Amino acid sequence: MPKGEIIEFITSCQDSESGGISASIGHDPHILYTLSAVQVLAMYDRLDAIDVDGVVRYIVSLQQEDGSFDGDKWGEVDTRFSFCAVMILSLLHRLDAININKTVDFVLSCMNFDCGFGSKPGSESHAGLIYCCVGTLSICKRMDALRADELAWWLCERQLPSGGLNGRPEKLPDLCYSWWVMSSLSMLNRIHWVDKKSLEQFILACQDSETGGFSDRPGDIPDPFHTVFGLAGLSLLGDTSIKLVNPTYCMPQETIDRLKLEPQVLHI
Amino acid sequence: MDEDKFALVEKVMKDVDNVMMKNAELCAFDIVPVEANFQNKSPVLHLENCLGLESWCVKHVYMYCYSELMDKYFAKPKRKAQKPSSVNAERLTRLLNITLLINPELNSLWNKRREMVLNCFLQKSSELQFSKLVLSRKPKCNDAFAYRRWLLKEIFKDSTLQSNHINSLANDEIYVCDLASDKSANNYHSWNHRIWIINLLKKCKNFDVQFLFIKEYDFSERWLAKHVSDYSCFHYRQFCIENIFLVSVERWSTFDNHINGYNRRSLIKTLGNNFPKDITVQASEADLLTYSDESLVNLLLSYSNKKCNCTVDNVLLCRKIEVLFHELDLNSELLRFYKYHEAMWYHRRFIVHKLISIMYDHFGINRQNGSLVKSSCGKCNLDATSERNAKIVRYDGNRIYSCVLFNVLMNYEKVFIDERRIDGDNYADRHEKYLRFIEGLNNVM
Repeated sequence: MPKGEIIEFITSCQDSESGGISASIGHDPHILYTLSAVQVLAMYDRLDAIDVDGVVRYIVSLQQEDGSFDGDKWGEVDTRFSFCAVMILSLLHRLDAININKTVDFVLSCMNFDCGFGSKPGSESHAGLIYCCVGTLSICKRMDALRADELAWWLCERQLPSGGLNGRPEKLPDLCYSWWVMSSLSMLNRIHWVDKKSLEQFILACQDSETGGFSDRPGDIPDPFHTVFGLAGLSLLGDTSIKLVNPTYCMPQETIDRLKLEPQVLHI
Repeated sequence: MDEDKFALVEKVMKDVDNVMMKNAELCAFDIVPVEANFQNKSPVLHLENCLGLESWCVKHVYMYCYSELMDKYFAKPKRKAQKPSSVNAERLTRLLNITLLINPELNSLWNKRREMVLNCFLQKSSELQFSKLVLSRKPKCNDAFAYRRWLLKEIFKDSTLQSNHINSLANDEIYVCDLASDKSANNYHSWNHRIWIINLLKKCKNFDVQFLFIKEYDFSERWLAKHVSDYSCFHYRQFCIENIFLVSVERWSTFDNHINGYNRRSLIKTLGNNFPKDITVQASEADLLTYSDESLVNLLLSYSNKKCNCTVDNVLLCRKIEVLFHELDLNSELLRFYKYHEAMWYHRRFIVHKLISIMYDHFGINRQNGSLVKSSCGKCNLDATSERNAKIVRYDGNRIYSCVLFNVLMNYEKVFIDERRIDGDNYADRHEKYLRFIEGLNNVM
């Protein structure tokens, strides 16, 4: 892919006023796309292509009194945005710009009786949001605050007879949960609690033999979203034909090493 | 795009706008699959309170409207973009309406509407109506729910809101959630939104939130009996149960008398069926019915070993136990009837967890890293600072494990697990393992 064009496109998506980055030219800045932009540029080692201080200013402006983060200036709170915030700032080596203790406290206030997490305090546990919350704690080095065994138990119960994983009870398996569940289990150091072989078979069955892309379930239409999570999932399962993927950042380990980042993995 | 297509799109926009202006009760929108324009009439359909768009025109209409929006109103640099004004508001609204009806996952377009609401080019009430229309087709669209939350936050900024206005807003919101939850199973966003609106109403002065708690508790019981695979609904039920514990004594007793469901009598019956055999409970079921709340608590939980002087709210404690045992009975009944449903078994975990938490709380203990430790009293925060992190002596553990309520619960679970296992329900084994290893009851099961 033409690297120069991609970088140029990202540069043009930054809003000079707020410092945030949008999904595409003309659209409004949002923390979700700001994260994607920073991740892509970090992988290219081209963070100089955006106004980094602007991004930091943007993220700081989104933190609320209770430690949560709004997604943009219109004020919708979600634990996804907490994860975006700490991931962005850590990639920029500017984590000190926000209140980390409050960030962690807010995320922990979203823990349910089953030790999973949802999008807001009191919201239903959901594997995707668990990944965001565990990831936040991994970056903030507060993995000790999790109830690891209980949470990993819930996550392992996401595996279905097909080998695939779902994100909530009684839902269909979906390839993207191969990432969200498995990365969480990796950070919890309990990846061996699921049956890797049958999961691997499920992931491979999701690949479309014609286009090479991956879909949510075998036989469906492939898309880039499921393709990245399929590949990243295979990496976690130990497939060495794919570069090592870091479970917290969903980025190549080599990038994480180059940036000297050390997201926490639980050791007990 | 040629002239014909321009004209077509302009016509569609005008027709859609007409329908929306004329019919304030519009409640549903959808794209109707029609392969080509055979009959040469407008692709905009209007039947009763429903709006439809024939699929053959969708691509043209969308491309045209989206392009005009991006070129004129979202141009970059920003100074080149037209700001909403009285001159362009009508055109802009039409473009936003049709683009969002077709593709509601465009956050920037919703933001433009927010801007227009703040500048009074759009009315908050009609915006609630519009987002409802969007949700009728895409019941999982979180952007639409988020927009409603934003609108409601704006509306509730007005501290002079009359209670009848608040009531109607609350009813509408709950109704929108009903529709979305009904259309799409396990709808994370609609149930989340329902929790959100109730939490907002909790903070509202001119609103009887306790009545809503009771209504929602009642509603969720009926709903879950019809949607036994929908854990989002069970999760909501758990929220309702927690809220029921906040209802005042007077309010609760009127409700308790009014529903012919669960009450003290049913609890006593369940207790009677599960009393531990080695403990001679002197009282018969008839005697137990005459017990005061305090006597019942003393029988079930014996005496707590808290060191502070806080009094136990026996009335509330009894209500909690009644509500949770009712839930356990209901859950057992549904599991027997529908069988093999993870969602219901997961809900059962909540019930058991809650009952055990009540006991831990009563005895002033906590479970940390798999062992029981003394905790501070939740009410007065008095704790034995010196012993705070010390493991509690085994005596305390025995005390909780030997209380009548604990034994009733364990017996109830054992009998039920065996019964379901014989019926071939694999989740029964899972439930037992959960109780042993996650709830930490391995040494007492």
